[in-house]
Amino acid sequence: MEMDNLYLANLREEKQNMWGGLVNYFRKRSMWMLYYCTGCGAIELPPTMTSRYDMERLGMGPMATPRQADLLLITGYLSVKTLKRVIWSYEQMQEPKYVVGFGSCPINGGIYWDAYPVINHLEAFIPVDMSIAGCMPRPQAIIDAFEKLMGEIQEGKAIGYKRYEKHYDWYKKNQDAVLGRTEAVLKPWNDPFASNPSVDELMALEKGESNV
Amino acid sequence: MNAYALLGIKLIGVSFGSMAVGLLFMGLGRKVTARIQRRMGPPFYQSFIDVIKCFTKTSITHNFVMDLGIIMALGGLIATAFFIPFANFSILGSSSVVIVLYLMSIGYLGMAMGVSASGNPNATIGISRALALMMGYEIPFVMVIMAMLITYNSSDLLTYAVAQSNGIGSWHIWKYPLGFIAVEIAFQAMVGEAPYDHMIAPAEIASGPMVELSGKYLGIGFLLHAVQLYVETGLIVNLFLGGASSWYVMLVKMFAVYFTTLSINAVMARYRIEQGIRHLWIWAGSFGLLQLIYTRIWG
Amino acid sequence: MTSNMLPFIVIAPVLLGLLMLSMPKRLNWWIFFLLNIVLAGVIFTLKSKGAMSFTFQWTLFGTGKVVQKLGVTPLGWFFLAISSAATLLFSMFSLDFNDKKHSTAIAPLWLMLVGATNGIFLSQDWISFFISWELMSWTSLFIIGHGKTSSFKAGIYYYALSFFGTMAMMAGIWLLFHRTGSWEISSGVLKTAQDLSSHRGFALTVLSLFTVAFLAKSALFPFHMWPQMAHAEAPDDFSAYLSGIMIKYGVYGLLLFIVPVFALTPRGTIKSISGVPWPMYILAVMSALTSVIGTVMAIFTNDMKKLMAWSTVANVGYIGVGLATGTSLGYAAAMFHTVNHMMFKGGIFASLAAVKYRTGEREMHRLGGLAYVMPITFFTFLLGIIAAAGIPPLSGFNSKWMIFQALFEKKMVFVATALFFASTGAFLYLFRGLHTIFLGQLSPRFRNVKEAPPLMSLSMIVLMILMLAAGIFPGLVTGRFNDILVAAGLNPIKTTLYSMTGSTTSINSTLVASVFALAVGVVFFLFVIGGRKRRVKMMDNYTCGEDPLDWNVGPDRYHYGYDFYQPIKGLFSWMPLGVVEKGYNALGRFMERLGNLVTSISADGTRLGWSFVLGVILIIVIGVVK
Ligand code: SF4
Repeated sequence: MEMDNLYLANLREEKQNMWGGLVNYFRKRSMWMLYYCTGCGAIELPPTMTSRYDMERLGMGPMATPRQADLLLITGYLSVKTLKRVIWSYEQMQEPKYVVGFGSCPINGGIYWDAYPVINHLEAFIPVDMSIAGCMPRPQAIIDAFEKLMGEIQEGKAIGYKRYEKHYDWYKKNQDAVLGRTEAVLKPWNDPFASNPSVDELMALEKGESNV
Repeated sequence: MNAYALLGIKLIGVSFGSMAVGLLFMGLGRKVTARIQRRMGPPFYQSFIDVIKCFTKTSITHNFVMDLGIIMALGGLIATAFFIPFANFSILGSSSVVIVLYLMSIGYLGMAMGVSASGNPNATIGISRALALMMGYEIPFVMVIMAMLITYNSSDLLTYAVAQSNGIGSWHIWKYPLGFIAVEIAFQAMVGEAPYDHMIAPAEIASGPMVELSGKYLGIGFLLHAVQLYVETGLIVNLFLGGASSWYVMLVKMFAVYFTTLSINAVMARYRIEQGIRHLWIWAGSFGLLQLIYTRIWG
Repeated sequence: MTSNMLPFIVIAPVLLGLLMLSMPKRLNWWIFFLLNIVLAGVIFTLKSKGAMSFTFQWTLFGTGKVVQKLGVTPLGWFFLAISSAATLLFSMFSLDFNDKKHSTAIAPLWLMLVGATNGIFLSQDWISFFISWELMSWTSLFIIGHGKTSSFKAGIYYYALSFFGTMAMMAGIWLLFHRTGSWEISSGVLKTAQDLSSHRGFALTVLSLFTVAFLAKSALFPFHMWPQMAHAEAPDDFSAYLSGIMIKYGVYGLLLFIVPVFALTPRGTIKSISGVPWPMYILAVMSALTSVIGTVMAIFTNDMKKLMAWSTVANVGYIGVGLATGTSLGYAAAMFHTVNHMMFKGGIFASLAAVKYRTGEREMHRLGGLAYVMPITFFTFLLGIIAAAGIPPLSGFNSKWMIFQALFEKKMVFVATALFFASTGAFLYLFRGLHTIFLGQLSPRFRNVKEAPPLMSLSMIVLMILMLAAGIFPGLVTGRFNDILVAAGLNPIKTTLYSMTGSTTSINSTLVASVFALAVGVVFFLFVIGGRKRRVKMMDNYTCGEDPLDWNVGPDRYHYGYDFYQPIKGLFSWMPLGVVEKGYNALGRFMERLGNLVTSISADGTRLGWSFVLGVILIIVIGVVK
């Protein structure tokens, strides 16, 4: 219900903006993806990208960093440790941004549904705009999903990033519940100068150390 | 006063024109690469879509130096584009090759400054590679240019272009064959295509300088590459391929230069940075030096 | 009345400097600053008063009457003016720099040095020139030393090399005196020019003796070693003066004596290579070599002041090449680059001094990110390096462009290639300085660093304005050269306020600057219409999904700065860069042994006797020579 309101609001907003439709056209025709090769699903991406299915036809292409990408592909199962990186990467991406979950693992855990280090519902941690069922989805299915996503972008329906913004508390709660179980392996950095010493104090400090 | 305003408007036209030409080449280039790899490839206007999309996205910045640097980068390259004669016409009435070489550097310096202000080591590594590579290609390039310079006693690109306007036989390719080979090798490095794509190296240093660029910053990055293509292919056409008498011939020749580069790029792997520089010094450098010696003594 | 001003601007600083030795430090810096204002004022009014000179006579045992003459020549006034203006700026900088914590006691010595500098630029005879030269060497030795062991070593190194040069110059002056019978510089020039056709061996000996002195002072090959020690170890505020002004004495000397001699010699008297007399061609090659060595050394240096000292060496190489071309364009280029180098290297060293003042660091990799807390310093450094790299629209481009035009005119393409190498290499080390000190991650240690104090900032801002002005309107500087060129017997160059005309083309720097501004305007428009931007924290970087802080990597360790160009180090391993230094070290050891020998002899208690014997031998030798 929440989601519907958001969608309508978005539509209203786009109606007011005369360029909305045009902008959506550019967005859908140029989706740069960051594929997060977390699981076995990634194996179907190379054929999708190369000569056989040639994803670049649709204006899609791989990008090196989340800053540049529009589309985050979660290709398969997601362990708790990886989840942290996924969230970090997702938050580094710039709006508008879309998430596609590959295979059954991100949907409901797939064959790893009862494995202790794997999360079952990606939906609960970051907003997913499109899920592709199958274990593993074939390139045709992938292309099909992308085309569908393009349609949704054109219609202004792919607004996962707005959902994330609006319901951040809920997502944050879910994330924390899982990530709270993990612990950094090394001692994390803590600011040795948290007390904000002045430069003179610092120099004195260093001199003192060198004497010892 | 009016004349200045008119010139200003024309120059704004040239700046957008150079971006458009560069973007068109990038799009066509992607198509060419796709065909070499037996793919369909994106439509030829894909680069325009990409850039416009980039400008509609939100973006991040780390500090004011980043904004300043990225603006200075594209500004510098566009200013360079003003000095490239297009179809044997130089809009500013002067097109000294020395200005072109040095003005281009302000673009690179701006880029370097902007991205290294992001604080990402990958970006800085990319820049350090680009600068080191610059030492590799600039020397052969300059040697060949000097060979021409002492023949014509002029450093104006337009002079060179006009001197070659009597049909294909008068092109500098035949007059400076060794120099052309040297410049072709150096050109590969100038536009950063394989085997000299150390700067970007997506799989190694996460696209180097571009690593922290998002939204409009990335869009400006793309435009930067576009204008760079315009400037550098234009430079080669004016230096070696006889300039052009009309705008479409000019565009075709410019694209031909880029096409050669792309074809090499499509089948080459990447050198390591020091191998790349050594290769440039040894091959491009020795061809350039031979050309320079030849021209200095017998030319 | 006004001609009495000439000895005043030489002697007043020296005497006042001596007086100041016993005064409190803080007061000294004020006196230093105020006197510099007076000096600059006097010097700038000198020009309008027309030609003037001041003579002073005395008798030297055995050589008859000595006429010492101070006078204003176009060349001398030009150097005097730029050096006094720069000194004024640097003294303003020092006023804030020398607070309680950073204070050094160099003000009196520095003031004496200023007097000596004025003396060098005003001297019309070799005696005054030599006295000023010696005074300059001595005072600068003590300033570089400034009471620290490491600095003193650098000072000694500097002094040893310049002493070598001074000895050569003394011999040259002595020979010249015997030939002409007069101490006057102008008659020496005329005579040597004539000698080049009649007594070639003699003339070349004299010329090379002087050249050695000037090369040693200007750190041209093979004397390129000293700046990296002296500049680096000198007091931070003095480094700007050292690099901006002191390195130019040699250039002035070359312009004063060597250049006019070759300008007066008719063409074809001496064999020429590429249209340049061969001694000058050798000078060109040596200068180009200096540039290349300076550049390569700078690329791999981690100490920021050393890096910039090597860069100074490289830039003096450009100036040397400009001089060696022997054309009016070349001389104008050399002078222009002298002025530019004074401004941009002054600015760079000033900003480095500001960085050191605030952080106390000299190793670059320990810094980083200072641009975000010290913007004025950053912009000074930025404009400085843009000028140093020779990028339009700053001043460095104009002078480099002229140097290259001079080379193209003579078709000296191989020297030009070496210079292009140095010029491209300059990007490497300059960017390294920019990134490692000012960009990248700001170490938490320096989070609270503040902008440089007001007077320091002010002098840096003035330097920035000067650099921009000379870059956009080259005529402001080049317009002054034609008097000098005509006085040296050369053709004037073609230049207007906006443009310069070279051998192969002419450029309009104002046009270049304005189209650059226009292009930036276009991009700024694109930037403004683009999507919304958001500011993120410095550590919010793409790191393949890892948080560096989780791996105990803080901003200081995340900063890429140490061994910046490690991957390409191997490319230069074949260059015998250390050879000259090794040679000097061997010479140094030899001299040390010689010194020990003398000490051991004199330690026998027969010191007096040995001195007597040496004195007798010296007198006999002098007698024989006469
Ligand atoms: S859905 Fe199947 S193929 Fe995909 S990650 Fe899960 S198990 Fe692997």
